Amino acid sequence: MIKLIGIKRALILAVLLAANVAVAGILFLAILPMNSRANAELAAVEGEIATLQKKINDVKKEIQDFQRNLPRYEQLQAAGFFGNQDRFQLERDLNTVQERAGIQGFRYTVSEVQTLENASAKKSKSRVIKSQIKIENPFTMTDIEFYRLVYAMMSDFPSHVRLQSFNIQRKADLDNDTLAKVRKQELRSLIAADASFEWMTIVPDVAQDEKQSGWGGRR
Amino acid sequence: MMGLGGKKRVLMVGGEGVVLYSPSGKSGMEREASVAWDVPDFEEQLTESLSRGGGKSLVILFDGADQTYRREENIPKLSPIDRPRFVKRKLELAFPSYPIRASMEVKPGGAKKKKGFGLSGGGGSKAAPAYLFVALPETEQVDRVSAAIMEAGIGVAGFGLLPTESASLVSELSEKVFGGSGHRSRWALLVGQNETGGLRQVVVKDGNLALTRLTPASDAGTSGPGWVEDVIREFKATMTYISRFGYTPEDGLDVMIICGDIEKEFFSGQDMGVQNFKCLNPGEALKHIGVRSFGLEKSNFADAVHAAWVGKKRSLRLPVRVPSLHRIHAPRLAAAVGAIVLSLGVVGLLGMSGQAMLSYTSTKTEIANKENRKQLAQREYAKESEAFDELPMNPAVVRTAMEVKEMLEKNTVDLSSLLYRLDEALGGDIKLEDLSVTHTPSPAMTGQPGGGNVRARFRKGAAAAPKPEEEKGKVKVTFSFSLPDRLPLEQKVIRSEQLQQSLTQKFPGYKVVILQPFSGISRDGTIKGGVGEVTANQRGAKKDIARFEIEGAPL
Repeated sequence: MIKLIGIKRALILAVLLAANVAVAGILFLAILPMNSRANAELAAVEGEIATLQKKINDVKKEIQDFQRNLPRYEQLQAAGFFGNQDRFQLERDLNTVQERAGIQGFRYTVSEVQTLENASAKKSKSRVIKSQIKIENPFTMTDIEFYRLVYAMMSDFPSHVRLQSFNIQRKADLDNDTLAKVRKQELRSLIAADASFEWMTIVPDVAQDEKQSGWGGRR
Repeated sequence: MMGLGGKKRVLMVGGEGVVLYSPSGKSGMEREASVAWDVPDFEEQLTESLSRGGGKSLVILFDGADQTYRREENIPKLSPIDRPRFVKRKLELAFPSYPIRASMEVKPGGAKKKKGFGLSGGGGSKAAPAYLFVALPETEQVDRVSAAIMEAGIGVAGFGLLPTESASLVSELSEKVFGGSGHRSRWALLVGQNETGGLRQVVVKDGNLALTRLTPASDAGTSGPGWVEDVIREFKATMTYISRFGYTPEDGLDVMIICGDIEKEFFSGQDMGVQNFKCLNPGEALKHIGVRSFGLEKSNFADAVHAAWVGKKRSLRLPVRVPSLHRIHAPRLAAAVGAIVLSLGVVGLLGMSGQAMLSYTSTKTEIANKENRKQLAQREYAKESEAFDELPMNPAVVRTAMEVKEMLEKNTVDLSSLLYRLDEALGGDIKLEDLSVTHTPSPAMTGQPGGGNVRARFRKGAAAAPKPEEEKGKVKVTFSFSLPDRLPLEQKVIRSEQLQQSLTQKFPGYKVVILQPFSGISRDGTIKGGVGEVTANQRGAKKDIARFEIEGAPL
């Protein structure tokens, strides 16, 4: 066969075949795997950059949000929104409300502090606490004064107070008999009324191991 | 048809021996070697001569005495698929004992129509096709040439027969030599003495091969006056033949003889008996076909002209398949094709490798750039983190405080708005007996799932999150009132209905329900009573009040 096609042709064919094998070997065993590894490396670096970029954006947004919310936070702090609902302070605050409402007095009942489940607060290692304040038998001649008391509770009481309910009922018609009783101080109020409020603040979650910064300063 | 692209050598094979011609310069042709059959070491000499070719392929132009020609006209009109098979069968039947056969279609007048030989073109392409069949035996001469080619290891580009290949040469020369006279002959004849043996006459009519004759040299030799006399005698014999084929002087005949300058002197048109007669030396003939010659002016042989013509053509007019040559040619052709394929493979793989390397380099550069960007991003992140750490408190705490405060505010009823609207709805004639307001907060305030996080409703599955109005919870207001006693019951009921309407307008979206109508009587409810003296007194005995309830989202 070699004689038929000639040694020169056979040699050329052999050289070309060897060259094909060699180049194919270099291409498929060296260059292409190398290229694949480089592409994977590039994808990894791009992924890292994307992750870093997201982190940067998150941090920037956190800082921006913080700077925007800080004044409001400080206002809330000044208003006692982060107080622990101390009962002695409560008495003083109720006295203030009574003075501002301009009524002679009222009875109150404050329940035990309860924790309000709140996922958002839990994430920042804090908890929302509440106490129920019930006001009864205010010494008021008319319903107007009672309304004033309710307004005073909601606006002048420290932190956040939410009205749950109130009831007001006329005890007697304003006639001569009633006026006589008032005059003799036998009747101190023409209405029977009560109101219930929820007093709410946010405090650090003491159950958490790590003390949370932000409650009294980070450093 | 075999392709003859590129420079190639031509081996003239005749009765006396072989002559090898090879391309020279840009458009020249030179005689390289000649070997006679009776030389003892014919194969060795020819092999040696062929081996010096430097890889150029070889065309074999055969002009032995054994060629047989037949014009076949009884070919029916068949489809392009069936016709070749039919022609092949016809060829086998025409020459059953010849191993070497070939055929070609003869287009009447078509081939030279453009150059002035189209006078006989009658019929054109619509006429039934005619075929020229050729055959020759597998002679010892061909076998010896094949053996030398195999030894030399060179490639064979084709095997052709001189008359079929040179028919176009006759037309070309006729056009060049006599074309300027304005007269166009239908017939043309080229006479030339082969160095490889024999006087070859090729006659064409309308561009197609009409007749060919090869006559051996007489005792007078291949040159000189004796040769001229032989030529004139053979020419006249040829004239007799073509007269039988329908030649008439009106058709016109161009006669060209290839001879040396000495022989030219002995020829005259009067002797030949034709008007268009011309003697050309090989150099002049080669010049007419655009090939440069080297010292062939004095030669009396026409082989160089035929060889140059074939060497110039891109392909053979009628390639002939010779078994002994094919046995050599086929593997060599396969090897050549294989070499081309492998070369392309190497080129392709190199191209792919280059592309892959470029891609790799580009990727590496990109990685370097991205690494720089990554470092910049890391620095920026470190800087921002530092700024974050410098904050006086944890931003998450501040954010939580804002979210909780927002939730509480949403769940805190605006009492002033509520009471103002209620006061407006009641009017001046109604006296309230009691009033109760209850605000039920949203699930967020009671610690139920989904509550306590205002972001929850923006997350996936927000359908479960409360609607904006539901986030504020619900307010229920219950009140009792009385109207002046003197007012008839029907008027009180009417006033109640008006109040219900008014409340509905003042508290849009609220449900307004009369829990207790005046005296327990409504327009469409149950009623008990009597007529006469008892009824009015019983109704006015107790304090008559109505009780309403309205419920809806905080305003």
